[in-house]
Amino acid sequence: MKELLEYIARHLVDNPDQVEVSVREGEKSLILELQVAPQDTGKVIGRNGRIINAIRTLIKAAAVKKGYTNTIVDVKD
Amino acid sequence: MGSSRNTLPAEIVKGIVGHIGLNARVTSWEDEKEIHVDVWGDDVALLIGKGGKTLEALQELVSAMVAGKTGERRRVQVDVEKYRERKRRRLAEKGREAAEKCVRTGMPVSMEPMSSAERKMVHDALKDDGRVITRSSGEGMERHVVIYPSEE
Repeated sequence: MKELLEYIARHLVDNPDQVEVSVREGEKSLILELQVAPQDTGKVIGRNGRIINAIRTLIKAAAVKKGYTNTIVDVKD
Repeated sequence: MGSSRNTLPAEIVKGIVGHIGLNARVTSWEDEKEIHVDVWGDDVALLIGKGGKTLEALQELVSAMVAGKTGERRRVQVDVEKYRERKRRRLAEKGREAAEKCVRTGMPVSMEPMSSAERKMVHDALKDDGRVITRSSGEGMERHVVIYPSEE
């Protein structure tokens, strides 16, 4: 999941080398925290949160396949 | 650029399905207006999701990822196992059934609430049927197609 989120974020931002994802993991839960360069925050969130919501939907679908029923994706600010 | 093919959308989709761990085949074709990327495989249903929700998310992301890299102006249309085409056919059929009812009774027929993309499929399916006029009505989650008898 970490690699998937990094891959998506690096294609969205102007500073791909500053994309970092930290992971906290429970038995069936997964918390991914995405950090990007400050000027790239808007690019991963999108207008009205469209992009971050699309990221959440896709990551959740992928995480269910790996057995995680509770997945949270946050953007660090 | 000029007439050269833009393979980036397909590469990005391959990257995503690869990272999810799906065994999938990705094909791509394009015209002046759109770049189409089709995903095929055994366990790719998770990319569609309930009511096509995950597919809409994938589409949104791939479009943004492509636009960010290249400034590509054409729309990227992602489909999984021809889900969109099957959906378009199903909605067109529902629209035609509702139009027949409208013509038969001479009364407006309201269809179920739909997303803007779904409503467009119904409008498109009936745009050449001179017997009826289609409009969208209602707000937000309640927005739906209404079919009216044409005045003639």
